[in-house]
Amino acid sequence: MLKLAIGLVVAVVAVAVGVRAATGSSAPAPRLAALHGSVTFGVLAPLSQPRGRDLAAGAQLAAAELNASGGVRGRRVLVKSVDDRCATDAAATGARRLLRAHAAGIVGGVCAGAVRPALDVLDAGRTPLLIAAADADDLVGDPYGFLLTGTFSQAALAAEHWIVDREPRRVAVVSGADAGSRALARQVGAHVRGDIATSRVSARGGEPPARLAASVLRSQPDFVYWSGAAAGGGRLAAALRAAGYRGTFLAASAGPDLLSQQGAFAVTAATPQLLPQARRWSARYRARFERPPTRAAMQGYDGLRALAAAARGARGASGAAVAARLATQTSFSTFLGPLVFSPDHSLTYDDRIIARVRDGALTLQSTLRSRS
Amino acid sequence: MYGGSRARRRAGWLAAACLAVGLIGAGPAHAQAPLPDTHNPATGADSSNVTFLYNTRGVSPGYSALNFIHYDDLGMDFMFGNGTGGLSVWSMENPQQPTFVAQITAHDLRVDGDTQDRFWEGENMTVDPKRKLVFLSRDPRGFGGSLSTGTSGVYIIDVKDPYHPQIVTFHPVPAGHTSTCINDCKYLWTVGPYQTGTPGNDPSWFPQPAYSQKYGGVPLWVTDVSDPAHPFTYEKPLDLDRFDGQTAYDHSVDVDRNGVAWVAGEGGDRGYWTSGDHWDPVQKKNRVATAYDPIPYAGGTTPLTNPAQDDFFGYFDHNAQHITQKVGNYDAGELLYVTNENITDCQHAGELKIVSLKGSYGGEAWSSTPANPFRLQLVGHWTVNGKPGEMDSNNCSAHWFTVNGNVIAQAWYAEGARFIDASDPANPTQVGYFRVPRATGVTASNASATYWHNGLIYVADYSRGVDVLRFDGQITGTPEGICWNSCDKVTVSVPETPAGEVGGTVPGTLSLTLGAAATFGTFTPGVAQDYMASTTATVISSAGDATLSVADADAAQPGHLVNGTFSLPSALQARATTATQPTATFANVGAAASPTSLLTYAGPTANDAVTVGFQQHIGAGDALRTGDYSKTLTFTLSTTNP
Repeated sequence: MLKLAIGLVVAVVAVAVGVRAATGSSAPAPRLAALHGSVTFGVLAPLSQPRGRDLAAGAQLAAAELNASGGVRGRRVLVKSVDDRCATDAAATGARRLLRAHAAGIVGGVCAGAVRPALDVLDAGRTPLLIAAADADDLVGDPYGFLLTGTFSQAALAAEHWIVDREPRRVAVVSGADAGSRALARQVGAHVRGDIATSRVSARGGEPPARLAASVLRSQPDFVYWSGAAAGGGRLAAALRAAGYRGTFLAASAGPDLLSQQGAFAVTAATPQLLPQARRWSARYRARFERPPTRAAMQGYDGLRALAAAARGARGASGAAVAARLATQTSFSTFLGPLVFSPDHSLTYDDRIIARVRDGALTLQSTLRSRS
Repeated sequence: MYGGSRARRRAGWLAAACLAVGLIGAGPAHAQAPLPDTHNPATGADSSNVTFLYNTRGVSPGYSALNFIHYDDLGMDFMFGNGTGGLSVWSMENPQQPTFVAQITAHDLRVDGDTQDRFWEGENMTVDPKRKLVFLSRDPRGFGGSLSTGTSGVYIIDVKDPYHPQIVTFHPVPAGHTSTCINDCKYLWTVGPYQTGTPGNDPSWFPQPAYSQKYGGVPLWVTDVSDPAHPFTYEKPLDLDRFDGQTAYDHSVDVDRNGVAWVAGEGGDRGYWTSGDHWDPVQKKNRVATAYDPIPYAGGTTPLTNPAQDDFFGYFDHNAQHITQKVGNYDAGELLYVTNENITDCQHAGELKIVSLKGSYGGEAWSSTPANPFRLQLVGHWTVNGKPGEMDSNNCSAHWFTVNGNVIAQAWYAEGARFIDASDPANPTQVGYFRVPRATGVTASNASATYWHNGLIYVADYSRGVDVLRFDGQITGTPEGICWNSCDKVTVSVPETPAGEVGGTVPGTLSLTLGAAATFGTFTPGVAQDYMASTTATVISSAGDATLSVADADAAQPGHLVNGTFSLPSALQARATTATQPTATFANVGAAASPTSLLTYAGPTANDAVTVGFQQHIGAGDALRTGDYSKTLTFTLSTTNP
């Protein structure tokens, strides 16, 4: 079984390191105290799919590193991974299995549709679930659900903060034809309207980009924000350029079409590739799993470590104690900065960043994190 | 004390008719038993023209600041105070004796790594009265930290239910001492001692000019709190280069009734527009002001009151308030009242300064250099040194103040609360004071801040807790609401126009300000007589019509003065007159359900001076009980045509 094999590998590696240190240096290597007992955390994800597999891998790497540095209060960190197959029944069943295994906390919830059944079980079992799925706004406020991704309203705030940062004279907020895009545009427009002259343009379904661009440019903006689908963003940016627009372009999400638009910005979730701070970790992950880490892997890694930090500071080892500590924890940080939860268990500080297109690829422009 | 009736100000907002009825007689929805409290006596207090009414300690031994929020549904104000022990909440059902009802302790406020239960300092505590939020500024020197180890930032507290305050979040900011709401509290401006290790304080901001090298460059940080659970601090600090071109130590921000935000600190005071379209005197163009890119308005370095003190403390302006009224021979908006803080013996202590802003509207402060320094004109200044009630101490300095008409109520540390009449700004004069000297069993004054609020004065005292006082002197000038970091029941209106347009908007305004309590003096038993008393009121209304009315909410003896269980047989009567409505007939003061109409307005009015008269008949056969007969009345300004 994959889980057992990895566990054995961890043990062997730890011993090997200790031996090399003892023979390779003149000074005696520090002896880590032996780990006594264990604390179990769970991974509940579609293990046969790349995202679930990567989430589990990130969690396992975190456990290995924790165990190499003393575990949690001297106890070995064990990770029990259960496949939820992105299905409601399997998610509920998997959650019950993890409760029976006395998991003190769980990382998972990759598939938004499978989260609710799992959470119902975990709420009853008073065990926290760190939710990796996007579009989990309806789970905000759950007593044992903690979001690892920003909410819809935070997407609007992220756009607003970047727009404000650029200090434009006039912003054109452009939405696609779908309801979600229009809702996002409405929120962004409402946020910036009081401070910056703003115009609103709504694309019609199937509208040619050139015509949309002409509508946008009528108000002579120096900043264009596109709240629609990723594909539309690249096409609109290209059409604006063709029409002579030289101002700033920000898309609500980045797609392949945008990568040809040098200098364009996008609001996007943080990935290991975009974070210089994650470079060393990415190398460790690649060495262990022979593939580059994905965002899901980073979520698994951060999620497991957050649970471990909470277990370390909790009053007791139960899921309820870990959840209580998670809710008030302020000293745990990821590559982006502090991982803090608001009273409704959404992220206090969004995991979205601003990326910029340079030479056909996205690069980090701003983490949108406060200077603190 | 009134001796007859007491009047309590009630400011009504739009559609206040329904509001007033809802307020009067309604019981609190979430009332609960008071928390255990301690009351420091004022035994041996040295005072003049000031009456000590009450003391309360709440959760903390002392407080740096207070603030107030009105709750329509509960029909009263609540007072909030932060101190080393945490946040205290008091109900103001009885404004003279606030009741300690809720708390968030310093222990509750700890973040990871804190080693002590000691909050610091939260001066000039700001609140959002609409969303019912309280913001506590955390200085790095609290919770066991220091300038080199501590954490700074702001706590956001939800007080929608004032009996159960909830911490929303602690948000780190590279500054922590005071935070002020900006633009209807969509933003906070936070200033104060820096959080060590933050990348937010640029080493190139050092060194300071030779005459100011203490805290170095601590500018202003802007935080978007439109979503209080997800605050965001912008990367670019503001108010750089404030002292002859050097970034210096910002200490506080106070918003005037025009919406201009005044940043006080080392090197003086600079005012900024934070919204609306304005001429930018530095960029030399019209543009739209925002909280994160404000437009310079006026200000500058205030002159030294002691030329020998050519150092940090000489130039350290602790806080400033822009006076938008005409005062004496000085134009409306010309004067700035400033605290220069320097805690030492009273002979050398920091003083209250009054400066003129003339000559500073062209961005002069933003181009001042050591070679070509710009300084504001000093109009007057005041110190407690040599004044009645002075105590010989090394804990002496001007500190936080609020202004009611022309009377400044200012805290002076061990020198207590001082009342200074600035009717002649060149010669401010003490007209009252209150100080508690140390004695066995008596905690001495160590006043941090003084707040006029609904006719009383609340003193945040670092050692005593909160003292409740009444000023028995005359409020000179025209009271029109109290401002400090924001304005208490005063509309702050700023014309907001899109870029490129010219115009203005008038927000709905109903403002009622009452003067000092009226008193009938002494009633003589056995002698038939009509006794007369009066007070003043000021009305501002932008409504299509308005009505000023008075009512007595007492269910047992409405409309009658009472002395314990004894009431006067004849009803208390009232009338109101103005320059344009000079005649009126006395009418019985009605009950809450049937308030007595005093004045009506057929259109908008501004600063209408009202004389409110009272008449009390005493019959020859009326049996009078020894003691004071009094009543608290509710005045309401309402409209049905906002």
